[in-house]
Amino acid sequence: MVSLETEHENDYIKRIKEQFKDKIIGIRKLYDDQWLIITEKDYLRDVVRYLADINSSTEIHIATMVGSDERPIRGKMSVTFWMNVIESGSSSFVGIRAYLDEDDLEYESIAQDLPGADWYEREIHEMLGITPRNHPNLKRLILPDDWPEGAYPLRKDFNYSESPAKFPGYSFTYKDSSCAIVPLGPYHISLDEPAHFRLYVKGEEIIGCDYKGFYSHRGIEKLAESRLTYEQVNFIAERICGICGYTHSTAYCQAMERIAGIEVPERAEYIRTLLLEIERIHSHLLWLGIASHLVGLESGFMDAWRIRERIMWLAERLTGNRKTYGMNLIGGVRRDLLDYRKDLVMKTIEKVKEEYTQFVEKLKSNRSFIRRCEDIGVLPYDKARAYGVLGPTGRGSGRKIDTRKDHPYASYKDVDFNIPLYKDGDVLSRALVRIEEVLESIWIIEQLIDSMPGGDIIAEYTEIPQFSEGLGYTEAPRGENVHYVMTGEKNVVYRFRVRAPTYANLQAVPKMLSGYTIADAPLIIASIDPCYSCTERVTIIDVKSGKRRTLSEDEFNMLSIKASRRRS
Amino acid sequence: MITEVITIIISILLITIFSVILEGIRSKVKALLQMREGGEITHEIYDLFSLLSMKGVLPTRTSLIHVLTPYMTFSLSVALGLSVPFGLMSVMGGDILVVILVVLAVAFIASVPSMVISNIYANIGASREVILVSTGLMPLVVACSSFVIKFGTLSIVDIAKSITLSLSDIMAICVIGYAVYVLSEFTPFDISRSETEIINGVLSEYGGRLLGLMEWSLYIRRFSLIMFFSTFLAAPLIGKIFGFSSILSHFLTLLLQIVFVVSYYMIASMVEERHARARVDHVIRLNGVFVLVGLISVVLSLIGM
Repeated sequence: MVSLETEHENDYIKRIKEQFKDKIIGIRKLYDDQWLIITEKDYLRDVVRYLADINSSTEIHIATMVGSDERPIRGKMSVTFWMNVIESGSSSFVGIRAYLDEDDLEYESIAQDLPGADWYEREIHEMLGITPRNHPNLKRLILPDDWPEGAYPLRKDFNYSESPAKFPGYSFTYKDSSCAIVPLGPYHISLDEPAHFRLYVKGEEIIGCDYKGFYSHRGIEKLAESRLTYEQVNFIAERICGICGYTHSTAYCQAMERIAGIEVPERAEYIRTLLLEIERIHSHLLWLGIASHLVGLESGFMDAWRIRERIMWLAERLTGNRKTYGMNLIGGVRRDLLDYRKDLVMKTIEKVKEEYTQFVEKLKSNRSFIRRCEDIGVLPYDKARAYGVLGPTGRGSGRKIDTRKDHPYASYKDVDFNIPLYKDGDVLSRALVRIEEVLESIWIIEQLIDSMPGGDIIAEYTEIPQFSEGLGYTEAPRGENVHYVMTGEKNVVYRFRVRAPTYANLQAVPKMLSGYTIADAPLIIASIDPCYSCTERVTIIDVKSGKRRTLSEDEFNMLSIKASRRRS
Repeated sequence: MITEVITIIISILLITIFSVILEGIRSKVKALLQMREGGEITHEIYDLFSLLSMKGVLPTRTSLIHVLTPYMTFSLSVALGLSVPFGLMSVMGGDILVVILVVLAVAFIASVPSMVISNIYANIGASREVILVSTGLMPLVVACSSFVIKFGTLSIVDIAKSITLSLSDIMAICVIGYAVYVLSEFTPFDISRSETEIINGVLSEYGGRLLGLMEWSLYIRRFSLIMFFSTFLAAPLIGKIFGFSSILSHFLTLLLQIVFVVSYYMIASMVEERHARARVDHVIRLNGVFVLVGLISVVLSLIGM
């Protein structure tokens, strides 16, 4: 099926080969920084554990985990743990895969060793019916509470429009009758999207926490695999998030470009980088405003959002949308950055920099704000590593990881920037990382405008190979964002798997909450900058009525116009 | 007689209407500090009128106490307002002990329904309200003790007339100013009604007219406490220039009190703008510090400083 590749192997691949010898069925180099190791399912846990512990000084975490129903093409299902092995100059994604026969869909759970694998394994258990044996917490994660057992929506024989019968029930793990329960969510003013943090408290102190989420599960992966073409998936990918949508479409495009071997023009790469950094600035400013609001510092909220408005305006001038939607295409970007816009960008950025510097000085000198953020929600380095916590949350706990440096994509190899790093692991550290990242992003934009190359903005391509696979990755404002794509027949994706950073970060939140107070809870939850929509991306089914209806384009447009009129 | 009638009419208007306008001024100042235009200063009156014209919304398992509490809280808040001096007279005696007891009573009565209802956010809000008021009253009680020991009277007006520029008096006034800020529940002390943490806490189960009454009670309580504090500033100043016996000095004191109250609200808006909400443990610690300062003022007054 696959060969044992020997050339250009990195050190880790060699060591895995030596350690497991004939238990490794195949090794394949997919792309420069992507390797795939195929092993027997009985050794999957051992190989993943070996790689995760291979070097304590190297940052290694589960970048994503993909379960795939490959019965129509291989007669088996597959489970792949994609590990991000970060080393200066030679970082790579290593996929460790096992194929499972249909009549024995079990393997030994990785979550026993790596808590960061918990959600991934629960997800494939629900969505594909693959069972991680001896999983420490194999309860429902994504599907609605009334979804029946035995209906697996991501299997290929499950139609996207099916609506199975309902059975009620959900049980929480943490049970302590001596505690009072504070139900933070599903609808709570400090949560910008539905999520349920069940806090177990004594007095105001939080003793334990259970999380139930995935209320905004939209079925994007199933939709991509069922109804959309390669190009259309790009536009649904950016709707995964209302804040960092551009980073999702970029990750998807990069995965497709890698699979198809498309050389994206340099100018398009620069424009993508510019928009990614604009997105990072407005996302971080949004967070700073929300953090201020949560602790009652309204001036901080107003200042942050006023500055953010300049960035939103700039995004609209550059892309036609306040959000940077509709700019990416497989092979490049849709709109060029006209020369007269460069002045506009520089002037806006200059103004933002000036106002932002004043705002940050004011915020940092505000003792009451600092006191609310300091020494709360502490996530020490070892826990952050075990959970594979990413982005500013990981960097606030001392994890030196940033996909822009570790796996340079777009034009990040051409620009100079620092990665802010703090080690205290508290809310303040996460805030400081974001505060400094905004200034780094401004610096990156200045460099991009100065050295913007000429040329085309999109590459032509003719064919995308069938049943090829690859990862696309970006550093979203909340951390590493990974899209796995396996191409299929007739211009349709066979398997699309999105792992947004919040998916990894959110798992660590219950640990961050324990020992702190109810007053701290909203801020601790917000400190990871959770994006529930990003995390909850997967199957469209109207469970209430069982009916389905597709709007025509005209109907859709009419509804949009009506909604706009109501707002105005 | 005419002076008394006019004072009573003015005090009722100030307690019921001006206390709401002051909230509008506070919002306007905050908006300007945030570089926003903000609403009109009468906007709070409009909001309150809207709430009062709505039907009261009650929780599913409600009791009579839930319905009665907003009316009782409102009545007690008005009583608090009438207990503090307007000018050099007080409608209801103007005794320091009465003021302290009514403040305590308002807080406890406002918290009772939230303690008995099955809503964890209301329960936490009630618990925080009791902690805030009981620890916030401590510095007030200690600072007032300093005056009572020194001047041998419980009458607010008599104390205000006797205040000098001595160290103990200045310290006691500062402590009272702080305690009034805490008990008025301005940020960072708005812990019992924190929206983002406990969904308005003690108010979370109220809606419509009953919510309006609870809000109005808070406005009146704030205004009354600040009026109480301003007496200690206005009366000595006017007394020094015009004496205490004339009608003119009475009305000038009232006018100066109002100026101080408006100034206090504006300063409070600025302080609110610079502060994040405190946690319960922060509040207890800070109140403890001011109790100590109050105790020092007591010691100083005992040794005649």
